[in-house]
Amino acid sequence: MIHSVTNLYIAYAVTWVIHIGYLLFLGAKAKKLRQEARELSTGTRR
Amino acid sequence: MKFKIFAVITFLLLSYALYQGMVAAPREATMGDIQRIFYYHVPSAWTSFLCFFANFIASIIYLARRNLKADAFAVSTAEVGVVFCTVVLVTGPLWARPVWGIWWTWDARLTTTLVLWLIYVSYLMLRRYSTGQATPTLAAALAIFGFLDVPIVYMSIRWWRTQHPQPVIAGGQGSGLDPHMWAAVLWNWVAFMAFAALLIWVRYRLEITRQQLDEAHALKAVGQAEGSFTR
Repeated sequence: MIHSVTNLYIAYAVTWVIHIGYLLFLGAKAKKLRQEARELSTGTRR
Repeated sequence: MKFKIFAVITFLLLSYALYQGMVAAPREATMGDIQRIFYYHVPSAWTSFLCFFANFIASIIYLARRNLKADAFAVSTAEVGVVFCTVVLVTGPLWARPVWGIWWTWDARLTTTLVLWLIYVSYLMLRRYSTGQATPTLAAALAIFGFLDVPIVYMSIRWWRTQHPQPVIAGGQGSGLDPHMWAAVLWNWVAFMAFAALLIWVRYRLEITRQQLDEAHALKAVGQAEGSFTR
């Protein structure tokens, strides 16, 4: 049963690692878009 | 402001759902505490199905009207659906190992779920790496056919004999859940749906910004080309 409880905690933890990982991915994407918008308005790109 | 309020409500729902799954729901007589994985596994699966259904509808709207907002919504729901489907594919084997003695078996439910995940990952890869103007159209067509796997996944444990447990919800005579277990399943489902809606909201706003930036880049390029032509 100890093995079972370990897997339970791992399952809950991995679920949140996946979700938080996706939130970080969205954060990085938002940062990249903001940077791109700044560059476009100041004309430093292209 | 609305977003912040919704985010706080979602956080509270997720906390209460965690309490329901880990504490309030009774200990299952045969499997013990490992059964509590069910409260994350099943609601995550239902949430991913809903995301893929939303993607299916948005893809039809895009093909019918060439509506860019529908396209942005389609990519957002597909991405969030893949996140929840990943949770399903990871939590399932973690439950199976102590209960079945194996991590994985190629039965109909597990295989169709893996195929579903692969379909939507390929949808996202198509969108990420294809640069042609026809990309949203191709992706929408893939999404419409890809969605056909969702009812197959759902029905697989009814159509075929599987290692995966038979349905305990809407499974006919002899199936069912303890009312306290039901509460834990429903609270977790509500919480995960709220969280999925929050993620889709954020992802949709980013995709709209991406479209606006692409348009601005295109206009700027046209302006520069016209300027060099008149000179």
